Amino acid sequence: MRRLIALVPIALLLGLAACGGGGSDLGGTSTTQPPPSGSNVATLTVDAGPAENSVNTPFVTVTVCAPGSTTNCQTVDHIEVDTGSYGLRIISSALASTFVLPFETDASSNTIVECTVFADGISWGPVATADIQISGETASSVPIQIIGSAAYPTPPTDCSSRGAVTEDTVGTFGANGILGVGAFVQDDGFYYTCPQGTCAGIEPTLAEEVSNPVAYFAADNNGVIVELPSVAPAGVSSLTGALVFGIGTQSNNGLGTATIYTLDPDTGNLSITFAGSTYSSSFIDSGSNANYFVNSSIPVCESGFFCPSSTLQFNATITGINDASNSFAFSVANADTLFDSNTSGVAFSNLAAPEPEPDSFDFGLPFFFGVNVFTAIADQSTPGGTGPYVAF
Amino acid sequence: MKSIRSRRWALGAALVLQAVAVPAFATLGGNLSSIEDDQLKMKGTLRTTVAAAYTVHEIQTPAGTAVREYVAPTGVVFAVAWRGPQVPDLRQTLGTYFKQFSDAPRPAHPNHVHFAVTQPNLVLQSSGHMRAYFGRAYDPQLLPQGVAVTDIK
Repeated sequence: MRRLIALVPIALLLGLAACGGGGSDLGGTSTTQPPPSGSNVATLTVDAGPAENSVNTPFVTVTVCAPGSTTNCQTVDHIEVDTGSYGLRIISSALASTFVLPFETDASSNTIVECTVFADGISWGPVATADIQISGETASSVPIQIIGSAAYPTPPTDCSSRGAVTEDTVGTFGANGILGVGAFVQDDGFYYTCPQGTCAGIEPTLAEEVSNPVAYFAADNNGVIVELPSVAPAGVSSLTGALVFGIGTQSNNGLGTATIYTLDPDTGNLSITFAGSTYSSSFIDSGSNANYFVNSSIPVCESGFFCPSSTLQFNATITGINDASNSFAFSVANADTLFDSNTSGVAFSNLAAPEPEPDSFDFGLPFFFGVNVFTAIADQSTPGGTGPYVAF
Repeated sequence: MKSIRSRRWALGAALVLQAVAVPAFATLGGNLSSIEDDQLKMKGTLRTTVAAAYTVHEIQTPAGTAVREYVAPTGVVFAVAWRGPQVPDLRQTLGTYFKQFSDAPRPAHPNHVHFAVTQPNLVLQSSGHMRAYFGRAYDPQLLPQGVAVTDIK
């Protein structure tokens, strides 16, 4: 541990200090600055969510409008902010039944319907076209997914066979929707048309795919910053931060001296070295509610999280495809103890769980507490270079 | 669905690679000789690897996802694993275990990046994000002696 501390470059500490971070950096002091303000800043809230069972899940409020309209709109709160996916998806029941967006159609005027596959289930629903307003930013005519639409209620077997369950309600999905603001534009999902009620797979054009709305903004469209304050070891019952749009486009979203870690252009992954092993399919993901890593010795409790007998301290080294590399400290506390002693807790910096993928280390939302995390979109230019990259 | 993404599929040094021309594939818990349609259904290419305690049949789908099925010397498929840009057809891959997978209890604090089932005759772990998924499933009651769970990958 002492040797690792000596290896941490001064630039890292300066970089974190410059962007208001500190909670997770090795050797740094924990400081929390007030969230930034501006037309490119949306409020992030970490709470139990509409399903009342979320932990370490950041939410934002999004307004969707019929294309070209500024009055035929609906505002939806509790949209999960996910740097591990791409595109806006809204659960149909979170929208008023009177609010109708036009469905996207193929050349034969058939509605395009998507099967979105998550590791814990699938979500099925048509692609609609919407104007999206978040903070002061507007994206025009963006393909989004309406999950659980009454017009397309049942996924084809080919879709439902890719997950344990269909997540098409707020309760099963855990949010009113999800905003994928990761390092790519298109979601690369499974698309179908269903003429006469029989669905068959299609190959949509890139422009037809559900897409990261940030890339559709008129400005501040090259990436995002997730800014969340540090969290005390016992956890907190509420947490507020900011989702800042653009990298180096305004006075409030500069990279400062943050280190840039470029990502694999196919997967969005980078490399993390932990306990002597290198995990080359690793990632930094606001959609993961804990830090997930390979370990067979720490006890796992019924909740699926690690439950060590006493809090453990670790370091892991993040290395970009560009070989930029720094070490970060994190803690693993007993999840049962955390939940039992803070029953209203919604944000825990020391929550961790086993990662099954033998080649992955997943730094989830706990990593973001006290560290401003930049995510730059593939092929978009920023003052720090072209995406895809993460920086902190 | 569109792009074919190459990935690294490292094999253990102890494993011996064999070329196999005939599709011979089964679902979890199934018999090797009973089912031969996975490869056709997934439109994939197949290779077979023989280790001391088991044989691995790997289908590479056109999209670049590898589906690996672990066959005991008795011919029964005791484990499956998948890795790549897409989650494969798990109804096909898990066979009779798919319903148990679907009916499994949901976690108290879910997220979309991890899901696990831990039951006496089915352990399943699914993880990953768009463009990079991983999963493994096995029946602990079928696991041959000497096979480590971490071998299933």
